[in-house]
Amino acid sequence: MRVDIEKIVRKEDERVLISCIEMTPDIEDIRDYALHKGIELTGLTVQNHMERFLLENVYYFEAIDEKVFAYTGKKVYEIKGRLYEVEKTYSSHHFVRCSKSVVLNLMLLDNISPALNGRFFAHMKNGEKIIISRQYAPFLR
Amino acid sequence: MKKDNPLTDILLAFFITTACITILEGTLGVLLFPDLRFGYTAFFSPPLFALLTSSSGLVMLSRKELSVRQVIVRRILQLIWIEVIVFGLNLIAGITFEPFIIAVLSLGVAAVFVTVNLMMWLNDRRIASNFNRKLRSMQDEAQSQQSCPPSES
Repeated sequence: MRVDIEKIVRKEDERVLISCIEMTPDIEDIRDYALHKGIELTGLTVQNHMERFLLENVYYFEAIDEKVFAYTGKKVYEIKGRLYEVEKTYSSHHFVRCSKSVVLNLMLLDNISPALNGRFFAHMKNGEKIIISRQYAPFLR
Repeated sequence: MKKDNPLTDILLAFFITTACITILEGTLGVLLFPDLRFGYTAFFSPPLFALLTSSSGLVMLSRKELSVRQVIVRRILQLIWIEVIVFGLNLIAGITFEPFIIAVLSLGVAAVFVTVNLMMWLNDRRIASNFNRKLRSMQDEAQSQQSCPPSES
């Protein structure tokens, strides 16, 4: 199969174009691979193992005692870097700061509901509940 | 990162409280002291009490994220503080009440407190509802961009 690679300028315009006569299982495999090939991160598990995981599977990042942890629903990884760097780097992947210590994935957010004291609860798709602090969440407006 | 101005919330609480106190004072006055008459200065009473009670919202400020239990405890302390402000100011002004009036006024202050918080919560619920609608459409749009069907051309 012929493969053409065209260099472009804008990151957001990156895409894979498949030209085919009909959808075959091979073509479907290529499409699925392209669709699910996301950004991979590396983190330290609780058992001190270095593992790779997909950014799109991260429900939220949390900063605790100068360390940043990524929560994928099944596992928790300690990652390198600061929370503000995470916020800045992955803002284009629907990650937003929702409190002083949490950056959450809007794609894995189910809904929000009002809490007391002008705060909100973020109900994640895995059932977890995170506090949204209004002063850190201008995206609510 | 840009932060929202918490002053907006304090102002919102102030205006709702002013309206509620005006209604409370009017209702209690008509029912309990129908013959009393006041000058124009009486108009300053609701905003003055609203200002003092809204400032008691500072009790909710914390460097840490408060748990629901902590918020409830602070709300109760805030209500007690407001009752102290209301009766303290009346006492300073030389106004004393009979026990029945004290009970009615205390309940009235508590009713205003609950009403203000309920209205703030209803406003938050509206914000949450709007946000959830936008979130759903953003997620649908992002999903459709990811699973774009192959072009037939």
